[in-house]
Amino acid sequence: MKQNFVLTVADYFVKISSDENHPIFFEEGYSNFLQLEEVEKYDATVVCHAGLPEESSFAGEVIFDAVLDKQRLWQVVRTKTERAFIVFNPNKIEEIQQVAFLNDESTEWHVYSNVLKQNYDSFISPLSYPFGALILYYLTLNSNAFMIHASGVWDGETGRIFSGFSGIGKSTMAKIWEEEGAHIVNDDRLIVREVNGEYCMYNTPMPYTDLNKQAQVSKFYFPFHAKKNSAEKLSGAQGLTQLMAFCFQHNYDKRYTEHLITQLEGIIQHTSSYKLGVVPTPSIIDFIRSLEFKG
Amino acid sequence: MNINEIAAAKSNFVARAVDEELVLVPLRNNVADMTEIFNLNEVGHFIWNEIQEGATIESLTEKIVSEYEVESDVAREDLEAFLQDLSNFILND
Repeated sequence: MKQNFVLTVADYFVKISSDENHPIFFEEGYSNFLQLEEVEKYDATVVCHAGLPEESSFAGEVIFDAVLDKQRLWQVVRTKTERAFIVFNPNKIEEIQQVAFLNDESTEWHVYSNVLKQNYDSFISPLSYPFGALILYYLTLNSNAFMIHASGVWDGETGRIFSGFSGIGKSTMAKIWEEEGAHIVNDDRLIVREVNGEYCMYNTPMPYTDLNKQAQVSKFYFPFHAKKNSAEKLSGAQGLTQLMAFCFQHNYDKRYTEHLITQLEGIIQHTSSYKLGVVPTPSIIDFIRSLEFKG
Repeated sequence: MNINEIAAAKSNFVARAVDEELVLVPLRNNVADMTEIFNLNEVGHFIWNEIQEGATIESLTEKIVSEYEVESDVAREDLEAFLQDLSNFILND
């Protein structure tokens, strides 16, 4: 049976299709990012297949190994003809969840995933975490964009991004702003794109349902826990370096590193960035607004 | 430290000027290492541009003194420390 979906994230359009007899299942977080209506032009296509391919088809040199807390999340392998992505089940170490092949232009994916069964139904789940995010990351490489670990909030006038390692207070900051009436774009992962000279932040599908959101961005903050609120404005190079540390990056190709630096160089010239010592109370909001007012 | 060695290793960095400063991202086995990004100020940026095969401590010091208002002794001392940092990083690669 022919199945076609359009994934719309960060104003990208990705065509997802399958000729398999098993329906495609999308995790809950994709619900507001999918549409059935076709568009004229796609940024990427994803053809979904049922079952994993022969091992020999994805054998080759491992050029990137994503390991977190000793758990292998995925590998990128250079095969004879293209790149293969071997994605492991985050709940069952070493079990392959998807194998995907990507062309050199990073625009055409072929994704193979196991046929899953629930009661009497069988289905495939080609975008299961963490693979969906990989597709989005590779979209950013073909446009003026980058993906970052960060929370983003919009208070109706200013878009602010708070970036840092886990546990540094990104979500807490977003919640404090939300309690003061601001909107959270996302509290963990954002895509930032330059569109006609303006920079926008977008949310991406998460493990929970959320609307498809975007907002302009003009300030970057790198928070850390402190005994009192404090701030240090960063120079362009300092801001770029800080941002770079928290961006998603598969740096097995020098072009990708250069692309990321180019994006960050552009945005850093249009925004301000600060290191921010934070006491996680509503007082931080006035502190930040006063800081921005003083310039 | 060997300036020729540093000059030869320059291609193992992605370098990008931001205003007067320079960001250097080292590549290890062609993979960018985000844990050791160098952030050079204006003078560091200037020195980086001047490091090339055949350059010496003396020639670089001379160039720094002619470009910036700084005593030769101070320039040489800072230059040596800077080159040592770069050299340590490159040798540890």
